[in-house]
Amino acid sequence: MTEPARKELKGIVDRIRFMRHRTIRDVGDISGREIWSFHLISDLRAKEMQSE
Amino acid sequence: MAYFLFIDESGQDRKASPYEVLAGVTVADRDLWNLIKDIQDSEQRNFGRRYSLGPSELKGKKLLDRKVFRKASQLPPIPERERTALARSCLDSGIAAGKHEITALAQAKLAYVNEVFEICARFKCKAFASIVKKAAPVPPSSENLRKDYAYLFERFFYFLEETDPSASGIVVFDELERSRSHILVGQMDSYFKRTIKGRQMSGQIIPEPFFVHSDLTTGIQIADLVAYAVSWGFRLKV
Repeated sequence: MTEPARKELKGIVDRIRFMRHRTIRDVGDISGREIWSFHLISDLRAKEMQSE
Repeated sequence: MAYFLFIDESGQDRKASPYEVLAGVTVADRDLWNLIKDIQDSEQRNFGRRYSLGPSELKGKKLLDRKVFRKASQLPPIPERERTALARSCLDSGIAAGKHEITALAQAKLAYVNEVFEICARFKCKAFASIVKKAAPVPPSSENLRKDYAYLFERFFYFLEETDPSASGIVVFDELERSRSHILVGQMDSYFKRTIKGRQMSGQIIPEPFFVHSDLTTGIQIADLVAYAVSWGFRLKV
């Protein structure tokens, strides 16, 4: 995430960070993958559309 | 037993906000009323009255804007009792308010937001967010559920499955335009009926959402605060 963050929000963001949910899942061939409830999306299209 | 997932968005216009965020906050059904009461008490204590009575909404943009931080720091911290009286005076007098009242109101806004998240932590609320880059390509509108929604529901499902496999998940959205609501309801219906993952998740998440007025619904106001703060202040190290 390269966009600058507003530093004055740090205290509030730290409280929100503490509210995230974390789980460990097997995803495809990867076992024990850590998955957080916050995630970054770079492309909203379905995989089959991304090469178009 | 059920968990509500209150959902709101920030930066959907892809203009000023650094990221588009779809955020959700969970709260257990048995905790919801106590959470609402504690947040209303905090509002009363910090502003000397209900800030949200009348036209003002407790939105992230109003409570956490850059100007609020600037105004809050233009004078030293004001003791709570005095601050509350001045904040109330500022709200009541509007544009006629002086520097002390304006500073007190800004400090009260920040104190209130901090208290809201303290209360959420006490009730073990969890936060969820799909953070979308501004340049992310968007699929043409279709009957398919957008990825940011699908990911948010997946994470909510993981939470439900781990917390209580017999609990239901109730999805609550901020009211959209009627046509957008129809599209979203249709996309969710299709996703939860026609995809393997959706069908699995429908064992716990109720696929038909509720739509509510944000100014009347405390859970949506919390989701709005999360969405705003994440867009402007949260950064993943990726």
